[in-house]
Amino acid sequence: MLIYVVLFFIFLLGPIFIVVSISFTETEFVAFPPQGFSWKWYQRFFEYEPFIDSFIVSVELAIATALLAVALGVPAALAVTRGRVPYANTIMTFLLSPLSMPLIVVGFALLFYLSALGLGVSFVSLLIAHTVISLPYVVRTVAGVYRGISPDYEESAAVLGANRMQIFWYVTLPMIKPGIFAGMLFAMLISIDNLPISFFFGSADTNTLPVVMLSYLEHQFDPSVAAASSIQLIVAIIGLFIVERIYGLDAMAPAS
Amino acid sequence: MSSNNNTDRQSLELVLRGISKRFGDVVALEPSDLVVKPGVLLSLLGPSGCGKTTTLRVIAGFEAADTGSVLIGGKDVTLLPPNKRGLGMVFQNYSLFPHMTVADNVAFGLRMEKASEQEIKRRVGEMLDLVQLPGVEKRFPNQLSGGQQQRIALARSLVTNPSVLLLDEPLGALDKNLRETMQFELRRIQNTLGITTILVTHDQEEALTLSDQVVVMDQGRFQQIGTPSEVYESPETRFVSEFLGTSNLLSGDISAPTDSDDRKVTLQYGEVKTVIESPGAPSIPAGPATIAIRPEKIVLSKRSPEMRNVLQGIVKGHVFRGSYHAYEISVAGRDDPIFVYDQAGERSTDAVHPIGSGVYLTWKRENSVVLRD
Repeated sequence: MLIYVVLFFIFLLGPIFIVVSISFTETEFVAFPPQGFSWKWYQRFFEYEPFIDSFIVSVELAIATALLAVALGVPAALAVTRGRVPYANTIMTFLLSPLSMPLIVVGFALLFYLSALGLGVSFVSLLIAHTVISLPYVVRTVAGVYRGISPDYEESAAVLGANRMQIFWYVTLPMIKPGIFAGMLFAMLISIDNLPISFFFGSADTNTLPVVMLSYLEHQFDPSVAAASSIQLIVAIIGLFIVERIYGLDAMAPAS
Repeated sequence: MSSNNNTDRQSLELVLRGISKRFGDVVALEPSDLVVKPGVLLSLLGPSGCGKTTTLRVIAGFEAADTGSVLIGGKDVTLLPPNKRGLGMVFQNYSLFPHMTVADNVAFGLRMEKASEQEIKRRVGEMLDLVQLPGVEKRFPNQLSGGQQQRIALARSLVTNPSVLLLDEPLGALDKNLRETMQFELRRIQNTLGITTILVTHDQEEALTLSDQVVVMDQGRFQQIGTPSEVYESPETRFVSEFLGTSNLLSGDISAPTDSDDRKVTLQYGEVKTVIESPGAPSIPAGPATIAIRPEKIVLSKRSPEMRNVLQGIVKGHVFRGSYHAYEISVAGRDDPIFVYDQAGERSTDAVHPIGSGVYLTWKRENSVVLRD
């Protein structure tokens, strides 16, 4: 049993460990085990403009995606979970459907669609596309948390004189906050990590970091990509750390 | 709203007129009428699925009735949403807002009314005194025991001076001892405030202990409405008599109605015919009928007593239950045993009727009742 767990961890963490260690190599090429120790590939990351520009795009996009997905996903999750909405299950399935579609297809379709709408390749298009694929994560986590909360709380508030807006603001929202927070984090991680969708919307202004890393890899094979990966990894770890400190990672598992 | 300057509660009458509710094909509530006088504590008692919760939710405004109207203090509130009805409600699991302190929980209704902070502070203090939990303002609900949470939920529901208080199985989540304490507590508070109260419960003991009036419900119908002793001692239907504790049912033939409510019921067990006298409603027609007798109303004796209502039987089982002896008596020609609870009283244990001994069962005529069904 223990051996199985250890093997599993090696299998999962091994590649990450290799990438991170490579990012500190002194050699001009990707080498494992790394030789020497240097920060020069990190320096290269911050000096190479496409990297740093796309990194900023990625971070801005991730934050905007998370906010938009929450703004759209929370009301949807609440309505579908407990509102008297006809075809609630069908709507839920529809909201979750981007999860089960190949991202290449989603990206391709959205590129055509958004171009037809006149948005074309732009940050707004990228934001819409990322929101579409992040929405299921917000809906899932928020609906999961909300489903676990007895309707008695909202009904108590109603009897006490609260109108729907007040019930949402003073009772529902504080209680589903862990779900919103977790969903938001998921949305950010999905967005920051996404390649297939972002790939379709690439331009000088709208390239995300993964897209730039891919095209960089096509021409060069120096360890700066390892450094870029490590930086992305650190962003994700910081995000998870914040969630763990505030709510515990358990909150991210939707209640059944 | 009025609570800013007025802490005197006005007891109001609650009236349900022809209220009914269906969920798809399922009838949750048949058209029903009910009048709850001001200041009365009325229980809706019945098994799960009997429609008691639906009735309460219609009164609260969570469910819209299909027909009929709800009147509070003569005012038709049928179409008002829950937040405009001016009610108080306590849920089974208290539903205290976990992210708020006790003070904020209790203050919630007042904040919705935009009461001043000074007023809120005063009223919250008053309410916590009323439920005998002063000084817990800063705590969070999860730092309180179940009984304490219950009291806070009550305080929260009363702070806005509601015209009617609704209690949905309020003691269901408490353990037995605490439940009894809280029953007295609840009754004390209700008496102090004189607030019209509707209590939903499936616990017959709770309904009988707490209420001025009991509505026994089954299959979406109000089976019987009356005081606790009326529904307990004079059940009108088989369901009511059996739901409110153990009851012995004797089937026989009832004579034609007389002027008085005294009815003669002929029981036939095997070859033996016994004529029993029992009160029954004048509307009950002659023919087959069932009478109900509570086990504690039957007296056992070894020798034939000089009374009208007498049956003969043999002791089949006996258990001692602390405050009384429970006997199972078989009567020749009758399939079901008759249960008798004999108060131990001051008698010594050798007064116990041994298993296998012959006994006479007697009861006063007013302690039995002819059922409608």
